[in-house]
Amino acid sequence: MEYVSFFVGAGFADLSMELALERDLAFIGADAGTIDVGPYQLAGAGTIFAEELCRHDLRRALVAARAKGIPLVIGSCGGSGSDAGVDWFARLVTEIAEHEGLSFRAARIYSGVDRDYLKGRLAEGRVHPLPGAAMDYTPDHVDRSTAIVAVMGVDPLIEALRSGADVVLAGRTTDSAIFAALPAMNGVPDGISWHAAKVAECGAAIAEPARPDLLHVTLDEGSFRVAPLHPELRCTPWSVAAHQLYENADPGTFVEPSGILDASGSMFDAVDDVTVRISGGRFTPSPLHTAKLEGVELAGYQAVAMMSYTDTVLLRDYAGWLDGARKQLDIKCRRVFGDRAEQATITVRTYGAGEGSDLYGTVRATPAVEAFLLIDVVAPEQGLASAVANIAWHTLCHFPAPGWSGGFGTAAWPFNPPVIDRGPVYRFNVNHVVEMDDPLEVCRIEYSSVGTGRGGPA
Amino acid sequence: VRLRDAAAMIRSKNAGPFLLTVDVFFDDDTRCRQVLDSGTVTPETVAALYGVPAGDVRIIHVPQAKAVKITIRRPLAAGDVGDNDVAGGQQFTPLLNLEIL
Repeated sequence: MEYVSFFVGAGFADLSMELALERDLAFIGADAGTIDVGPYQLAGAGTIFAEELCRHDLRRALVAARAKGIPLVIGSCGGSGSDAGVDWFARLVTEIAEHEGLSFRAARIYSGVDRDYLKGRLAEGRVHPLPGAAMDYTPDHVDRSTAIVAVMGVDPLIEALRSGADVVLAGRTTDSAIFAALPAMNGVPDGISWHAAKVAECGAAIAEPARPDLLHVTLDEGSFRVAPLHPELRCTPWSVAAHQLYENADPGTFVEPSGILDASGSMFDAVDDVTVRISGGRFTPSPLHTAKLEGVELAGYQAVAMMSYTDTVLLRDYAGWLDGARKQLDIKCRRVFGDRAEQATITVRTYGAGEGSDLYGTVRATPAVEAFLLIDVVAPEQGLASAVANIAWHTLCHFPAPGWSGGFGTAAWPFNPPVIDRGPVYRFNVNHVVEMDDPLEVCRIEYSSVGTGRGGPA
Repeated sequence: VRLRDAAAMIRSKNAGPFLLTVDVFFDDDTRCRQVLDSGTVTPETVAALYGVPAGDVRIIHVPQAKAVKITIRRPLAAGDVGDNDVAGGQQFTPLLNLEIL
């Protein structure tokens, strides 16, 4: 069995798809989501890729899949796999079908979690924490979540494909389920279908030079082969092996809803200059199916301001200056807002001077030639965040440097007005799995006939 | 010798919203094993560099990729209030100057 993979929004070269169409493909698969860009996508506050990019990729993939008469399987639609993301991609696909004169049967698989279902599972003690972060998860967390999705495995996708879907638009799925579903449905051994899917999930990002494009996957007896289609790209045993480390804690073990892929014994062998044969993956089915939960809640409303200093006198003791300015800022906020001031979280990040502009607070940037200050305020209401950011901007703009006397200076700031309202911001609030009696119980599948086949204006 | 001189590439990224992972690639696995055997890249030495408890650090050897993978708990979930590297892409730098051999 052969298939091609890519990432929706990152794209592929037209030449690569032309070459793909010469192969005996069983399906085209694409991942469209990532949790690694933060909680905003799941909250519905934007997506990693603009609509124009997604439409561009979806159109070319859809036209190719219909030309071959093979399924197009897309997982984690809309960046987060939220119900809104599935509806968004369904709209794009419908518009494309009408414009291109295509008609097909589409399945929309939603994995937005029903809150009563989840609270029932919590009451039964069938929601379990995952390693990595110790977090409570209670009915209250469920109620205050902006959105919750369950990460699906192959079963919902197989159900949709068995029901005759030509285009599968899935909500949140594991990256590999997208590519394992059709092979597993057709009897390819689990070890091969899951291991190949794991390698395929990022498209030609596993090739050299690493760039977004189509990856061609061929499943054989006991092993599988991967190769890019574009003539400027090649897969090497090292490029493929190295990519297996990307964005995971352990490239040897992958927990899927229906079992565990052990890839620790993977072997990577060059077939030719561009093709790598991979073997050694083992898949152990789990008696109990589980779905990882992803959920976000409102953290508050944000306002930001930026400024910079090149004043060498001020920079001589930047930490001392900032400490004094922060104290002055707190006094002013308390004077204006009283106890409400404590509801605002003020973060001043300094780049290029002082300490701790990185996540772990380890950066030491002295001596400095320039300090860039990014002031970030989060509060329960936008009005409070904006007002506190305004006070912070004005205070940090004029607070005197200890090395000067006789007045105060002024920072350089790039934008006017200086305070930018960023609106609502979110946080992840769950790191758990839910036990399932039926692998389809966390999803809802809807089928529709798309397109009249006549074509028309976009 | 510093880790930056011994390694072919060092990079970092989130591994889910709650973990950060650093991939250290070498030109050959012999070099990779030398570094691991030197006892200088351990949960304790990494924890000291990042200012976290050693229990928050996990180190594994991936011989097929000639690589060492170091996974560290994030002090804040990705994108939470106060985070300043949402995808964790620039959090490998504390390891660059680690004296290893």
